[in-house]
Amino acid sequence: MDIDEKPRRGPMPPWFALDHAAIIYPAVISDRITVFFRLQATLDKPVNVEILSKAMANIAKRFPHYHVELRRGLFWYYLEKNPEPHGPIADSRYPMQKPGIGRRGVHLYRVRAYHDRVALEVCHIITDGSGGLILLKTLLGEYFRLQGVDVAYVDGVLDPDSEPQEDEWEDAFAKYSMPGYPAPPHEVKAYHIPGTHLPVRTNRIVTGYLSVKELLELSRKHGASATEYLSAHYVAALQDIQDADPTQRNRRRRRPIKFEIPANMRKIFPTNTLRNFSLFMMPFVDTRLGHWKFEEILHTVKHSMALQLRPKELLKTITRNVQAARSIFIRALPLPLKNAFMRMLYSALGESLFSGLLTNLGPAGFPEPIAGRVRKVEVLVTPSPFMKTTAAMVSHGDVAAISFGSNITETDLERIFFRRLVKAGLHVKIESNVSSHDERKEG
Amino acid sequence: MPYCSECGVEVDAGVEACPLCKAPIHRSAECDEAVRPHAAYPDRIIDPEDRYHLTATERRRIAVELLSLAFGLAGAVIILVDLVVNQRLGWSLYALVSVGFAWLVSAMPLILYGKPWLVFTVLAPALPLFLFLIDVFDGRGIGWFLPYGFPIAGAGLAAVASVGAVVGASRRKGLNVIATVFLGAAIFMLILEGILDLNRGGLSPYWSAIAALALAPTAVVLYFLHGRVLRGADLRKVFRL
Repeated sequence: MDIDEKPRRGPMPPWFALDHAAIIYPAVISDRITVFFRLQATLDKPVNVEILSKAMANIAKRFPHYHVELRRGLFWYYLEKNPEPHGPIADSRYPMQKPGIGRRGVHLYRVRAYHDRVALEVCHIITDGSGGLILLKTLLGEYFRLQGVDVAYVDGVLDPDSEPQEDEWEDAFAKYSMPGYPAPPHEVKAYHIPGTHLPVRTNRIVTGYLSVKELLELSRKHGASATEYLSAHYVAALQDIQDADPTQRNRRRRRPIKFEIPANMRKIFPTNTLRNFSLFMMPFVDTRLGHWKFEEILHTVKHSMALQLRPKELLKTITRNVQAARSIFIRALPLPLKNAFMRMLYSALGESLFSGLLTNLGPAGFPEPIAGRVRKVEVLVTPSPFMKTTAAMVSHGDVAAISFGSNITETDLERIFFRRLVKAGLHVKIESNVSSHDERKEG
Repeated sequence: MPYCSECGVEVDAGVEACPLCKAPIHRSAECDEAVRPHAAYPDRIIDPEDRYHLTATERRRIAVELLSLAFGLAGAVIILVDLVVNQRLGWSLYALVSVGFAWLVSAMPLILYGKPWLVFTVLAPALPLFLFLIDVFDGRGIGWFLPYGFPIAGAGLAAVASVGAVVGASRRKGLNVIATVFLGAAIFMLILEGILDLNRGGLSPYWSAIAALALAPTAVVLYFLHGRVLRGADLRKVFRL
């Protein structure tokens, strides 16, 4: 593979451009599309906020590309060093809300503490789930080190005193772009579940905990990975909703159920970047053809993923994203016009193409002795106006946590999905940020 | 551990209803475990870092202050320019009255937010008063105000008040609001042409009749759609062959 290797020299510049996955986010960010995700770890003891604050300060210099603020240029947004101090804040009932992005001094990630839980909320403008997980691991490593624990700097726990590497803030999309590659085929719009939106600045989180051992056993029995197995159940749940949707009675007019499964590109295209570097797989079932059995859906998901995860296919999307931003016509557009264009693009090439999303970070991979001090880990993602309910998964030890983030009052998708897992023989425990008491109050 | 008998999922001790299906969780003797010391998420719903998160009332107050400052400055500049150039208040009176009226129209809905009839009560006399002052300031006494300005403003206000009353009284708002606005506009245009014709010595409605003939049937169709179709009436019953 002919790769344009141009490593940058010298320290991190005082300002730098957004990576090619992030450039669309500032244009679409709103109270409804916050583009935040959250990683949270429940510890074995209550959080000491003073030590956590000190740990945040200690690791800040190790992640200069995260200590930035979003600024507005004439043609593009850019990221600039943020000199404002950053400390932990209290948790909120409705997490991952949009802060005053674009204002001076506003950080693009926040750390929250609640009893025995440390939560890291990160804006996708600066990194993806893999980058966020490294930040959380390093933060907890420093938190425990300040309490006298002998922490080893392995498995994504970075040494706060080490020097940041130049390739940690490289734009890996630009690095792997192959000018001249054909664009991926045009996609049709997907089916979206119906629902009544919750008030702005609120969301519902439903987390299901299950045994990793049980899940892997069941997945292997079906000849699939855990991601494929759970994605198939998710698609089957979406199909159940579409079958019950009165607007979808005419099967010939149905839109397909298209499912987004983000994949970490670092495993395929080597890079040390701590910024965004993930793409999505898109298995789909065409429900105009009739009702799909679970085994058929699983078969489709499994083979679609295998086909779409081939490097040459992925390079098509990487190249399309990079070359579009390099077009002189796009570059010359003033930012307000570009924002309007980006919003249309986000709707046409992003949101409207997917019925649902499941991102699996896999095992959190905390090394000992941190792992022994963390009881459970969860990852939460925000929904959007089209994809009203989305899911994310991470495991720690034998506990896998699947969290649904939703902005609608109906819980049909979560209910059907978890009931399917229970019916398949898994033990599921459920937690939510919205209780029946809240719903009675609000209703 | 307590579980939902409908979904088959386990929940924390102390949870009253299943987060998935809302079915009540029945506590049993075997499930008499210690209730979790704290909820999974806190009660706070406002981000503590969001220092600038203003309530709707605070936003309206700031908007009124900014509007008052902007219109006040504009008025002061107008007076000063006229005094410096002409050594007296001349053309600036037109501009001052206009600025004052614009302030009333923009600020009153914010000051009296949620009280539309009170806003109308304040703005209704302000419109004829504004037209009267504009007419008086031209130095030729009362001219067009009595034959044209007052009746047209009165008809316009009466049309707005009537439409507002009908819309406010309707229990279900939808296409009927547009239909009522159409009817109000049709009646206003008939009165407007009547006022213009009477001042020219005759009464022969022409363009307003054409507009009314276009708007009234449209309003009837919209009322029908609102009252019969969108209410859930069975179209096969209504249009059966």
